[in-house]
Amino acid sequence: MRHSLSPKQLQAALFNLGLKVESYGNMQRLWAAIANAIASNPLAISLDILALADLLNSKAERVHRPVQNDTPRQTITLG
Amino acid sequence: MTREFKTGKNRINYRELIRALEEYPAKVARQSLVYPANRKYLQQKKQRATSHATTSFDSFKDPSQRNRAALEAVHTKVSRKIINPGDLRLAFEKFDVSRRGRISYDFFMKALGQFGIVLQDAETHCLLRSMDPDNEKSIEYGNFIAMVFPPVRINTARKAVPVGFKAANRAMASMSPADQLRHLQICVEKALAKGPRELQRMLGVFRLPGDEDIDLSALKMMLLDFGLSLTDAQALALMRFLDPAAKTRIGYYKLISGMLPSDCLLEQNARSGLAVGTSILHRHRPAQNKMSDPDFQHAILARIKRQLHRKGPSGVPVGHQLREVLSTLLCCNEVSLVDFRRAFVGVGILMDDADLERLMNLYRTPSHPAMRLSQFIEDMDDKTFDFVFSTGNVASASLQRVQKELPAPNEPDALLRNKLRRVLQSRMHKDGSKSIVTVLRLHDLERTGRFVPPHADTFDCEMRFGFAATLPHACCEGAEALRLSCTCFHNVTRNCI
Repeated sequence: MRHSLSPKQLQAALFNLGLKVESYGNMQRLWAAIANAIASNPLAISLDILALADLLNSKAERVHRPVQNDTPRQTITLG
Repeated sequence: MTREFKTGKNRINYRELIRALEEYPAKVARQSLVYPANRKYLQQKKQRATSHATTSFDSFKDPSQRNRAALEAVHTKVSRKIINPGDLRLAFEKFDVSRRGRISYDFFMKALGQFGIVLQDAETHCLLRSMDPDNEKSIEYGNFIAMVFPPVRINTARKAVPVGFKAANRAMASMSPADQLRHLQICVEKALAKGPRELQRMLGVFRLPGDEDIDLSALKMMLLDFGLSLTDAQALALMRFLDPAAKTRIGYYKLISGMLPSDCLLEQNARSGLAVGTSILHRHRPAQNKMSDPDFQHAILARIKRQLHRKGPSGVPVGHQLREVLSTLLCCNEVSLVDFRRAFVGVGILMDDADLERLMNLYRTPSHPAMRLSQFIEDMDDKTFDFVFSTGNVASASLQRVQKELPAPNEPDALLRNKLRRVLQSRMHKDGSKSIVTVLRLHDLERTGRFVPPHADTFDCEMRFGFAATLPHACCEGAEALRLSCTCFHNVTRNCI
């Protein structure tokens, strides 16, 4: 038997841990990012608990951002 | 016993007697099912201890003593591993699909094996023979639980104290329904003080769906978790004490409202506003039957908050308690009244259904018909959550909340994962250490309904694996290699999870 979590259950677990992921779309995006790292498939319907724990406990990954010279810098306005 | 210390006619050597009694304090005697009255048995045990003999039941020539020694060994093994009877019953119920109260020998041993309890052949033989005298090849596990966790008696200070079998059975027979109820309330209070979910973990009656009637046999089985093994007549008397209209079944609400301490019931207080404070009391006159929605919301939230402060585990914020019991409801598309009530009972609060329904309606909007649980928890305690990728109504949020929000996730996956890790780890640091594996496992368990023994050896394996899973990223490959090379260990771990 597999011991895995669906996106909804992961959202509930994060809620229990004190993180609120609002909206279905955001959770889907987050799920895709996690599933890409664990199952190499952003459409995976469930993910292994131990793999999830490994991922969430690990240190930050290195991110290689593509250089975008021709796009203006995005600003976020609060309020 | 006094006969052995007799020194003459009507004379007893009390010094010797007291010395003998001192060697066997009541606690030890209770744990090992030894009573000072059985002097011969004590002498045999002493001899065994001095000769450093291993546990050999054949050394007892008397079969009854051999059985007793075997049962004593079983009791010691089980009581070392399992602290509360609810865990044991939960393990048996996993194998008792039809809820007959009986399971086969194999399942019985498997259930004990979940806690890492392994019995010797002689112990198994004696145990099965004593638990199944009619040789039906199955065991009524309620009897076993009653054996391992002896009943309790209520002393004059109105505190439940565990005693040995004989005294307890005598006391049990003379316990009135009011005494029994008082004992139930003490157990509930103890469980509540340990934290959210403990009530449901320790006491099976709080794991029921919450909308059913409970019959006599089910009630007797539930009461075993409280250390009460009652006869049919006693259980019926208790049932009628809780609900005078009950015949052979009792409604769940009636049963729970009786079991919870009286100050856990928010029925009258919340509605009248008496428990909230003078401001509400002055605004709400008795002539007005119904409070306005804002007043009601203010009153009920204040009452719940105060109740959680007072009854919940010390030092655990209100929001954390609620977050823990309500998080399971997030998986449902629509939160039902029964589920919501059940979640509240998990933290020791029982409200009238009408009040509960009204509270739920306050957190529903036409555009969002499902109840907004997170909004409710934030109203109770605004420091409960950090926000990840929030797209909520930021206009209504405080500036602090907005700053916590992360921008819309049109970013590389690795960056998103990093943000999630960072927020999660800072949140866990704020809340105190908490294992991610444990929380994830909770949410998987509720789907599959699997049982994890909390005090078993296998649980230790899982904790060890939890450590491996929390290795830093640089060590992840090492952890993976360790996991793959120890296939057996990994299987044990996975099974336990």
